[in-house]
Amino acid sequence: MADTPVTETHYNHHDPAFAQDPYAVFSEVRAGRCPVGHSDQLGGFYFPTSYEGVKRVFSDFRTFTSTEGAGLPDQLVRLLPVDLDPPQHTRWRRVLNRFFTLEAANEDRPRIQQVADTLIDDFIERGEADAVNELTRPFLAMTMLPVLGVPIEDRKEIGEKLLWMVHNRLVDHEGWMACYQEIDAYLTGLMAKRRTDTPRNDLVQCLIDEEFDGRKLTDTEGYQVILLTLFGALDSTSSAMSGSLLHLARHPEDRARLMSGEVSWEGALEEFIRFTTPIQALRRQTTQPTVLEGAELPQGVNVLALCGAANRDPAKFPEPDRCLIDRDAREHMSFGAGGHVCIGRFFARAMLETCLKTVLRRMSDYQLQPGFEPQYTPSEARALRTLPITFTPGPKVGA
Amino acid sequence: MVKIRYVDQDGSTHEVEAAPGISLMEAAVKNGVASIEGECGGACACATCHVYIPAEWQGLTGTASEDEQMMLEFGIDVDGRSRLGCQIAVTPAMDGMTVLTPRSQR
Repeated sequence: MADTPVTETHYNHHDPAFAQDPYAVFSEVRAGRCPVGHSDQLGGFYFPTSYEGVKRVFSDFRTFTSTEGAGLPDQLVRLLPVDLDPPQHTRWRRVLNRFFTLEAANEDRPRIQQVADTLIDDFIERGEADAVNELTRPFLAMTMLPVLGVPIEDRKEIGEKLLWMVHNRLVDHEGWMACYQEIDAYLTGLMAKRRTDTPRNDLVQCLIDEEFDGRKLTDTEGYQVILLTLFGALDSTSSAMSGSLLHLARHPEDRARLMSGEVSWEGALEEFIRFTTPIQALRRQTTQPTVLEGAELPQGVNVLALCGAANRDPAKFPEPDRCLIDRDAREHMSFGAGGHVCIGRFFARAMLETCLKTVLRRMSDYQLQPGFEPQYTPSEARALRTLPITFTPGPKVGA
Repeated sequence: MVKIRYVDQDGSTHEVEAAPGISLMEAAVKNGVASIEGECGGACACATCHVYIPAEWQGLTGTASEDEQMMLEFGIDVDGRSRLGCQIAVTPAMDGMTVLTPRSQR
């Protein structure tokens, strides 16, 4: 075998063992002759572990294309517009952006607050809860599914199915295929139904009315955008929420610094988002031979851009494995970079902030249940499976 | 440091100190010039750092590459002075330069 500075590994983001701690292998690769690893899993792929390397893969779309799909292995359908490159991608993005601006997220804050309070009302009198399955996951489903027009009676089931799909693409491939078909039929039907409903000013209406790249979308294409929106929204922000709650449970001193105002929420939120890195891996493919951080990559190979590897590069973030809420983490890679930078980032920040502030206000003495050991989901989205907490029971605030 | 003046359509002015080598987009975003977004972080992939370079400064900023021209298709009110701020690196010779911003980036 030719002499290569690339470190060979068995890394696979769908492997539950790596999901438990992906950072050790990134660190090992970073310490190699060049900060690029190769894995023999999932058909083989390369992955840079330096901040600059990951940023280049996200930014240099001419060398690292998205058109072969942003997921590894493939999703059953193309997801739009993540599976496109500029300028086609840009045409889609310019149409969609207006639903995801900072202003739109801020306007939605009262509704987000109401979701937080309603969920907490359901367990506040009990004095104990699973903050993942009773708060952070339903938080995202209850915020996002109404926006996409999913009727209230379907939300629980659809939300649970989508979450299951996010994490079980390889764990139970046949079940995943069956689930995909159900969701496909459901969301395509939703898109078709909205065509005859009274028009509303929302994302689905935009998918029906607007021209994308010079023409209107079919029901299937609308579904491909809706599905991406849901995949992007559900276990990403909820993972940042639960990971932050875990940190604050283990570090009461940070809780106190936030509540007293000694540390700003604005800065702390960015550090929580860096430290938790909910979305770990997105795929690109090389369109030509290239040299990436000292590694020679041939044309046509898969490259994983690992947001978590960038976020734990000590050259960019000193003591990267510590969550330091007063550091400047604004340049974290948790929302990706380049043209595909997370469209929902302003909503994610608003939801995370609302969730954490509401928990600290209403359950200020919450603690982890004794003996709790964190377990993480595999796949692109790395999230806590549960977060059992106890607290002094409090009153409901809802009507 | 190099002084760059960003002037919005309503006449409001932001004078910023930019380190040579960074882009006109980065200099604006780092200094809170809200009329420039730079969503993609400088990858020439979003056209939200659209600026106008007055004729007298165009000799220093050069001309747009083919890639940049393609992306300028997405700018608002694009004209002959239009450039993407992320594609122009600040040089010491630009000290005192005025950059105009468009009414909207999206």
